[in-house]
Amino acid sequence: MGKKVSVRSDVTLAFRRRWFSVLFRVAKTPPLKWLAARQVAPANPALALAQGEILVGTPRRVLALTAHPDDLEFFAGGTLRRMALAGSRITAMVLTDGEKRGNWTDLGGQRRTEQEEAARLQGYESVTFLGLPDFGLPEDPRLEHLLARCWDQVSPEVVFAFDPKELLPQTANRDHKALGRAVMDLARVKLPTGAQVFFYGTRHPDVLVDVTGVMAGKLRAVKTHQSQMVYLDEPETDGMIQLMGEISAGASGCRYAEPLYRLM
Amino acid sequence: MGRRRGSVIPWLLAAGAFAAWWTLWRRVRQPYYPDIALQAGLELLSRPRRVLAIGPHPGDLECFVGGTLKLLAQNGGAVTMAVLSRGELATNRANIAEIRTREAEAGAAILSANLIQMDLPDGQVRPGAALDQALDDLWQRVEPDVVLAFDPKGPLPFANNPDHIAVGAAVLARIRRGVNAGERVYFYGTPAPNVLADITEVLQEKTAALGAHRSQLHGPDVAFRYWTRSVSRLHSGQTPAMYTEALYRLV
Repeated sequence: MGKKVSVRSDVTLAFRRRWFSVLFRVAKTPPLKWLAARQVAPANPALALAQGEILVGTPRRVLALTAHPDDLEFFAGGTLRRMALAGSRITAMVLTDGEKRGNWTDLGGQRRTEQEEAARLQGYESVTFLGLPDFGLPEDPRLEHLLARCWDQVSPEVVFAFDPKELLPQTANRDHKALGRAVMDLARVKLPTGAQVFFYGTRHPDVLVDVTGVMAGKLRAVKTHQSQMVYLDEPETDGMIQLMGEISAGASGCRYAEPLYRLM
Repeated sequence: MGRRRGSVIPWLLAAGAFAAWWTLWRRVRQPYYPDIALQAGLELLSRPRRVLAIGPHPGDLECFVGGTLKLLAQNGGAVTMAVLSRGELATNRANIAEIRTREAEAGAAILSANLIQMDLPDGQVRPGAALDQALDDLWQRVEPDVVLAFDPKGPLPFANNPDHIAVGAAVLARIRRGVNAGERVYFYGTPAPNVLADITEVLQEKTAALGAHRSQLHGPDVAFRYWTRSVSRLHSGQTPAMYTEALYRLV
């Protein structure tokens, strides 16, 4: 297990912990929740939910691409769980080990272990770590080549990736953005194969997946990534995920949803 | 603070205009990724396909997907336009149903499509047994690869024709029931498009096909042509395509 080796960062950590929980408590208030739900509501929630059911209900070959070991569970955990339950074969590809955070030894190794555990919980067929540098995806010359190879290897019917447009202005992780862009470029080439490409972590959903039934499983899968629970404690993490689910669901009629954008 | 001089009415008007503009802007949306949408449209148009386009009234298909249908037909596809009702509620003229059916035939001929005219009652097209039966018939007769139907939400925030909505709802329900045999379904008249069909090269034909519906046109031809052009530009945005038609791909 990785552990923190310096005391100096304790101040920062404590400050961030308090700051995050204040932010979370503010975001939970009904008016802000309502406003956020309004902002990210799809044009036709009923159609979006129907799309989600169609997506989840058909067993398919799925390629789930992500930048860091916890993003897949956090943004699309419920969707992938439901697809796995319906018999889809899910190949997860994690581009970096997420090894970059100060003062931790072997964070990458720990996060890989956590991701494998989460994959087992979620029922992915396989997880592959591509070992690209954390926080260095935009500059990495291997990115496009590797993605194309993964795509050819799996020949997926459904691909999941990050939305390259950020959820909130100026908050995007550069790795997430780089991955989304690369997938978008690749998708143009792969258009004739008929693969469907879905972006998760989007602010402009046109597909909503009802994850009310698998919410407990999603929480468990996210909390498998223990090394990521530095800013929020367990109940707060639960609350945050549920809050995001509620905001995405909005007035669509289900309790928790995950938003997706269908690129093609 | 001193008293404000002058009336508040101009400010109220400005606020109202802004609200109206905002509503429309929220409604008439560009695709989220316009260039990809355009490419998806090219992919749809570039191959010969068996197309079933379902419109609730004569003229709806020409208005929303006329250019797309013409291009599909030009590229070797077999295009069938299914018009569910005869649009007999349009005016008080005694033989309006016949007139509109003849116009629909003319429009279909201009778009090089086959026409299937059905006899559901205008204004009474609702999800239900009759509509489902009609759809089953159409699917059996055409065996489509691609289905175009009206969006179940409709393009406007208000005042959508319930006949239009019903078509989309029935098609969606059909897909949800799992009757789908691998055909793609696209919705036209959608508030959130993700496919753009570049119809620049067939805008003339689209205008002509729409113009075939003489009984529904009021006012000078110039205005009508201008209207067609501007509506066809609504979704083009910053894409290189000048005139487009917007679709939402369901499956």
